Amino acid sequence: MVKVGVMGLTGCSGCQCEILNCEDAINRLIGRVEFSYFPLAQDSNGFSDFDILFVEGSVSTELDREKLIEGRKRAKILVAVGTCSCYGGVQSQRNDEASLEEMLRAVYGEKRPEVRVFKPAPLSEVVEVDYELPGCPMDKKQFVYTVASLLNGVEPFFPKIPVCHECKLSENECLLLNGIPCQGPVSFSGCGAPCTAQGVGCQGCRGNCDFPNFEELLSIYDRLGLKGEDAVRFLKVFRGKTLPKLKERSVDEKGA
Amino acid sequence: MEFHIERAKVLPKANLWDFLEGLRRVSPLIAPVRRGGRVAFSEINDISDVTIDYTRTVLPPKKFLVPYRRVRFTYSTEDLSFSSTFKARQQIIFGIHSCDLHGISILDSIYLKENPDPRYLDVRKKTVLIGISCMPDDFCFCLSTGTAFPDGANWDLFLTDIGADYFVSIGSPKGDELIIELKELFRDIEREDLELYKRSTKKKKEAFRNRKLPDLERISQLIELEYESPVWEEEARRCLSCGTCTNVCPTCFCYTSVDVPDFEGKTVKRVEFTTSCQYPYYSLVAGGHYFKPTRTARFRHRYYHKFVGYPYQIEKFGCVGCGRCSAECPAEISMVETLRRLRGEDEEELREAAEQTFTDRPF
Amino acid sequence: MKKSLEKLLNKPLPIDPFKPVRAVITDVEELAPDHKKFTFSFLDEEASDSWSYIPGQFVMLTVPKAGEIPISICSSPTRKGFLELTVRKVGRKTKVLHQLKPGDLVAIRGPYGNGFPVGIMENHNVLIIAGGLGMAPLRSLVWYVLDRRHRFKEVYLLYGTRSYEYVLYKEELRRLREREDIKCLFCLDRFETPEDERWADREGLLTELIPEVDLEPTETYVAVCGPPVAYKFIGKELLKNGYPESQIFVSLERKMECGIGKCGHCQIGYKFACVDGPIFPLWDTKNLPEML
Repeated sequence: MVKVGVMGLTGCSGCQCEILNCEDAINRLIGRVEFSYFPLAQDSNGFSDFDILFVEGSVSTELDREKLIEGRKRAKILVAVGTCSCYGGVQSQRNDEASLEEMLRAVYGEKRPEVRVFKPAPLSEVVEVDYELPGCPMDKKQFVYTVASLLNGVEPFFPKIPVCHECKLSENECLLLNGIPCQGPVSFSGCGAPCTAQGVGCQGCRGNCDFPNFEELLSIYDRLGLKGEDAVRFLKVFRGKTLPKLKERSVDEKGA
Repeated sequence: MEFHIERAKVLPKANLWDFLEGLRRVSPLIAPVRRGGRVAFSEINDISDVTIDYTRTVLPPKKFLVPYRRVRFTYSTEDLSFSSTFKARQQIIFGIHSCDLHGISILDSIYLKENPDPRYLDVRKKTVLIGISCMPDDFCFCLSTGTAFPDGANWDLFLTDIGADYFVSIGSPKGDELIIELKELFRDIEREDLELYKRSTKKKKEAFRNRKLPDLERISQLIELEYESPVWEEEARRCLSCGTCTNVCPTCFCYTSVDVPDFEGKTVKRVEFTTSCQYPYYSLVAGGHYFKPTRTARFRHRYYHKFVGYPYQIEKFGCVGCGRCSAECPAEISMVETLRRLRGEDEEELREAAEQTFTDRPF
Repeated sequence: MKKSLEKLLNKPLPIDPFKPVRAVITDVEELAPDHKKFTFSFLDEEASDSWSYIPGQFVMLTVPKAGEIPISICSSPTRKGFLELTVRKVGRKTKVLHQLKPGDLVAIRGPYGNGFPVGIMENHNVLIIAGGLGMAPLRSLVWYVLDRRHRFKEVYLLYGTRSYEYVLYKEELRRLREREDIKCLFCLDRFETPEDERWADREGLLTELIPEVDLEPTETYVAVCGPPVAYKFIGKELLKNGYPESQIFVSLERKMECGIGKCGHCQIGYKFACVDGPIFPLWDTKNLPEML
């Protein structure tokens, strides 16, 4: 029996729900896989050794940290699921703008939470992460593919191609050409471009594609009327720390 | 003597919808459909959805010949027996413009000349291609690529608008069979129809008169010689590497293949998906080396392949001037403009000067 | 409709070139850290009999569950009944391959690519220059030439690696060295152990061995395979020593999915490494951009 755990840290539990939404896959998995730890879904949970441990949420409390470190010790393979665990999530979008004290005051006023808290961070800042499945929420198909690959001892293959790929192949009209700010060209695909199909610009919830050209995208935003700090904040919502410093255009830096 | 041409018929415009209905009775019909601000080739259930008045679809009809995602094989891990459930179906694609017909000819050469792909051949044998004439917009440059008219391409029927009627050229026995099947909708050609047909060529050419067309003379050599030109980097700065240009291209064919095992590890699907040379991973080999490491290299590669690679491989340009890559580019990079810059800013002046010299001559 | 295009469509459906044939691993040999040599034999007798290839060609090997990889053939077509591939553990697919054992099944299609021009190399001297894992495809050529020795004039093998530990086919090469009909010159990047010193003729780079070759350059065909960065230097040195550009052949690697000119990944300039290569004359390396 392959032992699988699903752990939640600071997040909305949406990605854990998405795992539960993979009903067909879970049906087929049961019998081969034992969900030995999945507090969101079952009453009895053991925290023993894991073959695969999926972790959702960002690390923002001392408790998160301890759980994660302990989980890492016990897991052969640790997979970060969802944008919070991969990049810190929306809760970390202002990490570079405000101090922890300012954040606490904005949220709690003069009160202080009982546990020790810090700025929300992705798992990779605390432990080594084997695979990342970003997305808000993570994509079910990618989850199933990842589980299938790992159960077979094969590393999953996720080329970081931009959302435009899936969007254009779905024959959507380009939102940028229609005046709607969209992060498709700089965001990691795999979601099937559901937002752009509905006319909503990509919000970049899956993080960066390979070597994104933010500089050009910002100048397009500028032409569309989304300027300066507003444009950068738009890009920062889900990317947090993974948004590089946007100073000057550079084409031929390594890999770009 | 009766005026008689077997290579063509006339379809009165009033009969077009009956013609489409007739086609749909023969086999599944695919035609351009307007959805919001875009037009897409789609399977037709109701012929009133068909639009014939369009300039370009977002994706070329290629998607009905080579799907963007396809399962090549399923294999068993126990005995490694490979099987395929692929089955080509009969289909008619109606309303294809000349450039896209040429695009399909190019795909024919790629898939069928060397190491022919039986799957593509099967699909192609079962597909009827019916073209329709069109007028260019600002992005079109098919006159430069020699693809403004359907001659030389692989198609079955081609409808040229000659005013009140369509002049229907018959390109293949399959096309002829359709005409025979629906013969009550057609009439024979008269001398006047032929005159109108001949004039339609001029009409389309004239529509290009005031448009910027790239000069493609010796373009292969030019691109090879200008390989180090700063134009590549300047244009590539604006490139988002989003792959739109290749994904909408009627002649691009690159794909990546991935083996996807099931939970039990008993069967594995070999899935192929369309990819783009604009994505960094495209040239990445195990060990971490990128053979096209910079955005400039990738950007240039597309032009290089279209105008140097294809001529070497299939003796034709890989560009049919459909203008999709420029029309769909989120950064509004224009192929025509890049080529023009590569030739040199003063190209037009040079040409004017040459013409001037010519007209100045005393005889 | 153009006649040439019409012809393309009027053919019967060909045999599926994407469909591999089954083979079983009969032997696995660990050659160096992360380098293993796999020996295969085809399950189907017909496939086994009809299987022929040229040194320098490659196959597409299906690693079950992981996918297909292009691998150069390292055995010689002069030895029938089996196929050998040397594979370095470097990516997600080769990692899985390295776990396979004798008796395990794989699937193979090919051979693909042009291979070395062995026909025109006959009646000439042959200079074989291998760097690192480049020894694998050249081992095929070495044995091809030695098994048809009378068709060739003088034969040289130059082989350079990092250290003795990374030398491939150690025993085989030792025996080659004792033969009269091939001259072997080996070098290592740096001498660090006594073993290193015992093995190599020289400490240094492959380029330093080239002047030691005693052959009439214009009567010689040169086959080079090694890390792409070395080609520039080796090429330069060969030209300096008078070897004609048109008689020097290099082997290149690229990402490949199909092996038959359909997937596009392996494009080098206007050529496809899979159908126009992977063996290219040195002249091409000057004219095809991004070659090295």
